[in-house]
Amino acid sequence: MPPIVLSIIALINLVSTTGPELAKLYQQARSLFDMLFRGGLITVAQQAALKSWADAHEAATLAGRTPPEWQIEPDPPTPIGPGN
Amino acid sequence: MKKPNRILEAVLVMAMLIATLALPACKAPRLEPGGVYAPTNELGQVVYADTGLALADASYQLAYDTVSAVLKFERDNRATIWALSPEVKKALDKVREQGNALNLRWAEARYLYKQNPTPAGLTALQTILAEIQRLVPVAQQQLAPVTSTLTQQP
Repeated sequence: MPPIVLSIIALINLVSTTGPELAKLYQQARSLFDMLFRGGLITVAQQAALKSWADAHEAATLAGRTPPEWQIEPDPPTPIGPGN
Repeated sequence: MKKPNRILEAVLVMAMLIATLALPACKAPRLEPGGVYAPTNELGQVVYADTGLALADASYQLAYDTVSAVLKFERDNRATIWALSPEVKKALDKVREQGNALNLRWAEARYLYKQNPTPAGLTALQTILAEIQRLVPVAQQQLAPVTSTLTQQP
């Protein structure tokens, strides 16, 4: 497959996969910034959501469950070509 | 071809924000009474307010999710990224190894803190938090050359 096609696929994936993640991270960063530097009020609902995430993440970690993206998987095969 | 650059820049800016956040220098946030970090009794009086744990949890969640986003991006695009630079996966595998070890330490420290919430326990959590925050720019730096290569190709 020509490199440009791979690049286009990668770019589409980059936007489609990182876009929603980025929006979520941006909201988290802004919320944390408000908490830390503006003395913001952490509402009952925010506290519940935060503790729910932390408790679930703690329990999963202690149970040895790891998300797929955190697992070390075998390297893909290296393509054979000039220089290999 | 500009959007991925902006995304990358935004992610890097967030990494810098996270890296510069220092808990001791912060204004104390207020916990709304009745929340899980500030429970109230039947008279509506706050029994205790664990602002330290709330902040530590919020900071940890952001750092963890940011590293996760980088790792997920690499995993979702592994074949392409591997073809461009096998070093990215190798470097991120080290991040995975360190991150998993840190994550386990965090879970154990948080479990112990909940059993016995002491200042020393909170300090232990904050120490681990600082370590995972240092992983954020390390993880994100691995993707910078890849996205740069992708966006510079004709």
